[in-house]
Amino acid sequence: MDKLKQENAQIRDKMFLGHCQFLMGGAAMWAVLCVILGYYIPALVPLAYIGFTLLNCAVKRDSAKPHLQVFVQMFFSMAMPMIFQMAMGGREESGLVMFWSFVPLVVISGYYRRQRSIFWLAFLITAMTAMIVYDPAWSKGSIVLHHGSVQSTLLAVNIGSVALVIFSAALMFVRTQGRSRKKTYALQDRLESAHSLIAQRNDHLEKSMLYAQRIQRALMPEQTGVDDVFSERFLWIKQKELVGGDSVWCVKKDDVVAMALVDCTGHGVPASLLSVTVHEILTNGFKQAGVEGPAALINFLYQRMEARLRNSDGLWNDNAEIAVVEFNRKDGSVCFAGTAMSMFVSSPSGIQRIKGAGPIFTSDQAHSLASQDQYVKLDPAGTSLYLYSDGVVDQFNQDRTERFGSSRLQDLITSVAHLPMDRQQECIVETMEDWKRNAMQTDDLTLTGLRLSPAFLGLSTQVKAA
Amino acid sequence: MTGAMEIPATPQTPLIRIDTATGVFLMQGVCIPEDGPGFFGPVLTHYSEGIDKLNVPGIFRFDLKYFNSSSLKGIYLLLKHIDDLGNGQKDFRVEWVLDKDDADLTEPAVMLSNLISIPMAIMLAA
Repeated sequence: MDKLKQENAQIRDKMFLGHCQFLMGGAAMWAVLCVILGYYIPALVPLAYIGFTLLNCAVKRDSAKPHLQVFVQMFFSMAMPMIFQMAMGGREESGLVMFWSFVPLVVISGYYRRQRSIFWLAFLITAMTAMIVYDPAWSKGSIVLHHGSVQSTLLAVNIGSVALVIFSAALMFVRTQGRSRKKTYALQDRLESAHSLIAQRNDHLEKSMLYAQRIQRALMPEQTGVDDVFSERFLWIKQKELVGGDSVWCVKKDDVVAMALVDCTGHGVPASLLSVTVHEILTNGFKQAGVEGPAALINFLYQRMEARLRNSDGLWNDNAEIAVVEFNRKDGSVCFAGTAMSMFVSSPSGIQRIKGAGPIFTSDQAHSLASQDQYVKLDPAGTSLYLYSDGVVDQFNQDRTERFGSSRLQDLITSVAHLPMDRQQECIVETMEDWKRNAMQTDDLTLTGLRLSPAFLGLSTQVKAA
Repeated sequence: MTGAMEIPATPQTPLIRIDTATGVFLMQGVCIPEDGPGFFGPVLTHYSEGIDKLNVPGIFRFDLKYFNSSSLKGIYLLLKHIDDLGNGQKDFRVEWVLDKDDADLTEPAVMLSNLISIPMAIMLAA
């Protein structure tokens, strides 16, 4: 819009200068004619106009209020032919030189707003009417031309020159319009081709992202194979974009089932690439390297990530928050460790939040995690675990005044914990959607609920009894 | 650089205002940049330049309504950098302004304060 305003201002400046040049040309012609015919005093009027116009244009160039100079110029451009007509001795004597007042009016309608043009039209009609009505009153004392044919010549000169000027202005207007139309069509063509290119690329990108989304979904753990550990479970992942940095990893080895909720920094494609790397490192650590215990696995992950992802600036910018839970089918134990992540444990006796360590920024910090494995106290009457990414608690409401927060999530889980897992998911999604409404999704969201099977819960009792 | 340097806020990044006359380095708003390193890199440079010109105690004020996890790492790196530049010799302090008394928001601040040697005051927004 600023560019449009600037262009309009340039056009107005051009039109103003053009009108000044036309009028000064006409005034010069008249001054010369007067001098030739020997009317030195009337010749002062067009000469004074030329002098004033030059001065006004110079002032306008550095003026803070150029519209004032334009107004004054318009006034004198319309008044000058009339004053000149008076000086020449009236309409008949001067050959209706006040016709020249039409020139600024034609120009003004090209660059002023309609209301202003109407004002100047009204001014012109009033002034011309006054000139016609009062003409005999002041023409008596004026200079009278010597030769009768001179008046006819002057009238012809006036009509001819004014018609020529108006015709030139009209021609210029038509040419400008034509150029402007050409420019508009060229711009439209360019816009259409740019739009088509963007649409094509967008379509390609979207298809490619949809494919990536299918791949990322396929990388999520299968719902089978761990039925002896969980009797029911739900997994709700809502990435901010088609792919994202939130993911769940689940791998079995002998009697241990390890599960992790990973939230890689950022979202979209970069975060999804990072999540694939994290999965690969976790699998490698758990299955091949034989890392034991969630905290040790997290430590392994951070060491490898730092080694792989250190940038040329020496900084390790890419990161992941993670919660790892290991389920031991041998002794029925559940062990948790996390960085910047917590887990809710719900049982008939209540709900408890197990907090992980703080976020890890350096591999040195990750070393201190080794002793942070936390064994979860299970209730044989029924225990459910809930892991979530920070996108759930960081989600703002519609007014962007409040985050959902951990305590609200804890209350929500408490209120639905007695329901079947699929119903729990429905209630949680409904509540979250109601919270968010039309607000932008803050981050990737993941919430998973795991109800431990009675068989698994019975294991720990059997081990204790033995 | 004398006086104030300002990077205006955007919907994804906070306002950065460095006033070397008063010594206040302000980061205010939301901090969820798409490219975290791309945002924090120049901020780190501006803070370094500001610290170089500082003749009064430095106050590093973080008044963030919301920041994501990658920004937390950026803030950590920035604080570590300030810590290193101060080298325990300069009169620096960090002011961490909380929008409201919320454990989710207090925890990262406490964690950051444990990782740096500059004193950090955690305060509620007026």
